[in-house]
Amino acid sequence: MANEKRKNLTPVQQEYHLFEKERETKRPIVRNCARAFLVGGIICTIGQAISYFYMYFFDFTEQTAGNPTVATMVFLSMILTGLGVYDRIAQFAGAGSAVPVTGFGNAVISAAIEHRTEGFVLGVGSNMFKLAGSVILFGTFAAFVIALIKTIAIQWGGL
Amino acid sequence: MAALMVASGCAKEETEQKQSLQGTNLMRSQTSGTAKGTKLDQGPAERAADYLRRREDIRDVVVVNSGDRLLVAYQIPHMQRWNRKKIEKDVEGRLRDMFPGYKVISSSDLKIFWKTQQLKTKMDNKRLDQREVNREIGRIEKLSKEQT
Repeated sequence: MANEKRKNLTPVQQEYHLFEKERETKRPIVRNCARAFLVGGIICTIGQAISYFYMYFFDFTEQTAGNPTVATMVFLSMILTGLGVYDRIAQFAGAGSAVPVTGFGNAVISAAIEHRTEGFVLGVGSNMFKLAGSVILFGTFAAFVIALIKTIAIQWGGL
Repeated sequence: MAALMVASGCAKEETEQKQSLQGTNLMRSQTSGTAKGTKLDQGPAERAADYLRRREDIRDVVVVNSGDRLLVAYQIPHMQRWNRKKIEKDVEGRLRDMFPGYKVISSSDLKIFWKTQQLKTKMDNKRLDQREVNREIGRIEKLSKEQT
């Protein structure tokens, strides 16, 4: 907590803060980063291999192989989530499994499984995109902003 | 299914590595660049390949020509990919200047490189005639323009 904010706390609150700080479990940041790097790297390697698979066996170029690769990765992570395997991977890897596109599939299916007891329409239907919805919204918005910046840079900046 | 996809994706990669992903000098000596065993004149292709091999920002090159078409496929070193668009534009412009009477089709895409490599091998082994080569070049050109 920032020092200025701590000054506003009452003495009891400050004492509790110190008490809490002493007993709080320290997060192994370096270990978590290493795990995320390794598992994220493995997921990306699998993605690259799938991309080469599509390029070699089908008429996809480097540029166009991205779409079926992403679809396959999301599909695989959905299957793994349904089987309960992806959750274990996510527990070990943290951000390494959440940041790649496979994390999107996991977010959709895990929410669907969680809310299945509430019914298919109001349970699965309305909660499936609870987390994934914000990913789609801000992803689309970010793409729009970047495209706008690029268009302005090309039109006026002469890039 | 995933394991099968990964295995087959990597299986091909290994053979391509031999001619495109190793050290520049070794790799350059392994790729012949143009179809030498064909009955079609590959003079322009040879000249284009010679020029591209001399460039530092190009790692590997395969060139085929037939009639007025010149198909150039090349690989850009990994770290030079930051300047991919610039390199592609420059190569295209230079080749157009070098071969004014030709329709130059150039690409740095790996798939186009594989396809051109296949065509070159076919030209060497099966002695394709100009019509067949033109048809194949047309197919590769169409593929290189594919956006989705």
